[in-house]
Amino acid sequence: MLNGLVGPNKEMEDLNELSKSLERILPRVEKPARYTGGEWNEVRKNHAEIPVKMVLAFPDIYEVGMSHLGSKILYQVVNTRPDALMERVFAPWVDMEKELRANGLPLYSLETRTSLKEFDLIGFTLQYEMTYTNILNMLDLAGIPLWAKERAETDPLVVAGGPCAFNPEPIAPFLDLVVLGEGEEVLGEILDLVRDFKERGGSRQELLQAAAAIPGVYVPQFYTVEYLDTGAVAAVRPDRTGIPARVQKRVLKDLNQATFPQRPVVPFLDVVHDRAMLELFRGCARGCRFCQAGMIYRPVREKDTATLVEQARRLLENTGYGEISLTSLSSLDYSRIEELIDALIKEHGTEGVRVSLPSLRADSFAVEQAKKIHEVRRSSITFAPEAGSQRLRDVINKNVTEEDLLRAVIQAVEAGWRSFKLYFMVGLPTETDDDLLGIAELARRVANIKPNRGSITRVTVSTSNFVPKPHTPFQWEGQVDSEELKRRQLLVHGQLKGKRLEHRWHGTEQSLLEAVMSKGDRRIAPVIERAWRLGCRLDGWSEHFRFDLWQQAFQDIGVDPAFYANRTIPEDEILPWDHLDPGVTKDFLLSERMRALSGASTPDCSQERCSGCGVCPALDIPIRRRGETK
Amino acid sequence: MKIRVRLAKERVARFISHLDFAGAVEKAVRRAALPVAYSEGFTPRPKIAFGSALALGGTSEAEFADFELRELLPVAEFKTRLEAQLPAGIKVLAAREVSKNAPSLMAQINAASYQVEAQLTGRQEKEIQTAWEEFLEQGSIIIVKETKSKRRDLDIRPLILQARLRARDAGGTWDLLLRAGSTGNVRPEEVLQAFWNANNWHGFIETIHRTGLYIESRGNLLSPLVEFKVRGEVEGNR
Repeated sequence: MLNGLVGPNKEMEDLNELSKSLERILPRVEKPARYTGGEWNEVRKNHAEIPVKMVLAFPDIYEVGMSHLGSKILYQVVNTRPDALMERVFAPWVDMEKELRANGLPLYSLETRTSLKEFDLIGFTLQYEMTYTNILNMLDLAGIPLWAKERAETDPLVVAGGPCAFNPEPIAPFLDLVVLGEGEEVLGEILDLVRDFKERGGSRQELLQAAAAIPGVYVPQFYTVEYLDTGAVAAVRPDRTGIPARVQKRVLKDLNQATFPQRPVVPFLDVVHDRAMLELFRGCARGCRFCQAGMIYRPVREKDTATLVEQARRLLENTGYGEISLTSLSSLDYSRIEELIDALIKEHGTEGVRVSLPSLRADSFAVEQAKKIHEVRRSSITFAPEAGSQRLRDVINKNVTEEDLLRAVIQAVEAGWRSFKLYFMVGLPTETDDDLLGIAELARRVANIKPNRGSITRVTVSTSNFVPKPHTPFQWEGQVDSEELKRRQLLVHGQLKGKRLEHRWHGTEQSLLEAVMSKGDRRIAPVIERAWRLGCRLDGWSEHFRFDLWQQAFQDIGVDPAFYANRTIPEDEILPWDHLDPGVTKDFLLSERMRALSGASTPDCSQERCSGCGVCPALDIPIRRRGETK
Repeated sequence: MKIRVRLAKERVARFISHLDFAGAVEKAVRRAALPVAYSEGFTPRPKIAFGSALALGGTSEAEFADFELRELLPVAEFKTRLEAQLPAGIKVLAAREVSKNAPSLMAQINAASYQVEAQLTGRQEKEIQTAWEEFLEQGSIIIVKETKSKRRDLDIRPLILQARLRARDAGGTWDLLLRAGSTGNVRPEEVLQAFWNANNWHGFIETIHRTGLYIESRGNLLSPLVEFKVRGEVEGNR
């Protein structure tokens, strides 16, 4: 089959010295299968025969990382090449970190148990801002200098991509290369470059300079940032010629032609999403104004139904999963969703394979489809109205009415569901106490629906804290400060008393930090390093989140978190991420911000007229409606 | 039809739990497109029933599972197709058809044999061997079983059916035949811990290997797979 590919069912030999030490350590840690490798479809190649070696580093634990579709795609893309290999590594849990440090062992790849330092590239995926200390921890465990400028010629190139790469500034000084947008093609170009440099020779600086010429690649160390006395960014400029002033994201034009991860690694452990994942389309044009994914992944590009049916077949054959999840930003918006669901049920339903949807729109059509795939309705059904009043839903452009939602709920009740989950955000721009009371009111109305038989057993309301994100119409907004956020959460909480009502909310301190990391600039990097040295890691896990240590880190470095998180930024100020271009224009974001404040909604451009975000012309993609073919 | 299979769990697979081991076999069955029967309901699962669980970390040459098929299939073909889809560290050792009405493995199995390697730093061969014999001569050996909610005393002496130690300086190899299943259950690490405690020693278990699961009746050992009598020898299970 592939050059140098070792069959997935090949026996796991005692590979090296490291493996011998692991035999002693692994029985002592929780869930040792996080650190063993050896899963079905794992690709193990002979390092001696492969010129370019990369390890994909997921800065969270195995169960989270193994649920990430993007990593599966890149694993397939790289390992299909005869001249390259990709292995995996995840953030160790605290027990394993302790063992590695106590035994003087380096962080290693799962496939061949090779120290990370021996790879040519380490690729971090930036899915969530609260993983940044894990990145430092992983580099340190690998014995690689944290700061890009301190790395030696022989150190691996540290590459990062993913949604947070659209403002990587807080961690930019730790990264050699940042990739903007979809990685399938651009990663291949980077690997070509590394292979050529290894053949011909050349310095690290020359390599970085050549990489900066690849569209979609950002080399932070070639840009200088100047600041005003006010603390705002004055300019971000390339420090040499041949470096683009603005880096534009990469996208694939035709998803039908894209590499599809048909042989994903099948974990032994029960991971977060332990199922086959079928990606229907990329992008979402609903235009929710708080949603970064909705802006940075534009435009919408669908796969053909025939392609999807074929891909589903191969996925199930190659993995043995009993469930296939239709994963996209808003999967039910796929133009031929009914046809697709019917085809999948018809082909696989008799083999005990379930079709599932990760999220539902709050409308009748959504309930119809859910009814079809959940033949026995034991689980709860989830809707995300996001805000408690029509006024605020118009502000955020969540185009769902209370009538839509209640009709969907009644329909779900008729279909047999008795347990509901409702998702909202607290702290949205222009929010008042009336909007918050509206959340509780809506929940009560759902709980008080009287079905023909039985009754509603539970309505779970989840309220997360609004975090303003770069490249959204709300990027200029300041986050409501921590105390006020807490007051608002408690206001909702106090209203959700009742035996069928349950309320869950997120810690406001974690949300403050997330806001700083989302909108920060390079002056945050020393704070992250300091926090990590003070012992912060696994910040996304509430049992490990140490806000006291973070506060100390801000104080030690002399950075005010409120400047980044809570300040409303003037529209004429240069943003730390202005030199990174997702294709959506700043003018569009500004006009959307204006429309938000006046309560005007903007329709989905894939259903109605073009809203002029600028992404299609910028990326040279023909504008078309949903379901239209080329 | 129903096929009973004996599986091995070794190397990297020893680090997966019993539940994840079952999940891995289930996925292999689906990949092999074997005509297993599926349960009804929201999440249909292939009808595979496993014998008693092995603690994470141990290896085994005696994991048993019953597969209920909805179509007839030659056992040899079943075995080959399943084997081709099993991940590293899980192997099919033997398979045979059993009666559709055969009692479940969980209901039948009441004994398990293990080989345990352990270290006892600073102790002499003779000292260990003598202490072990004295340990077994006791009329009762009480250990404290702790679950989340309660503690209870358990006499494990009657649950040790056969035991043989080959001691050496600073350690030894234990062959144990222990009661297993719903009529009484003791794990090899519990036996050795009780032994360390009785002598105030700090032992360290290096490996636990399960060598057999049995249906024990009046001193005779029957293999769940080969339905004939095996003389009461620990190693005789094939």
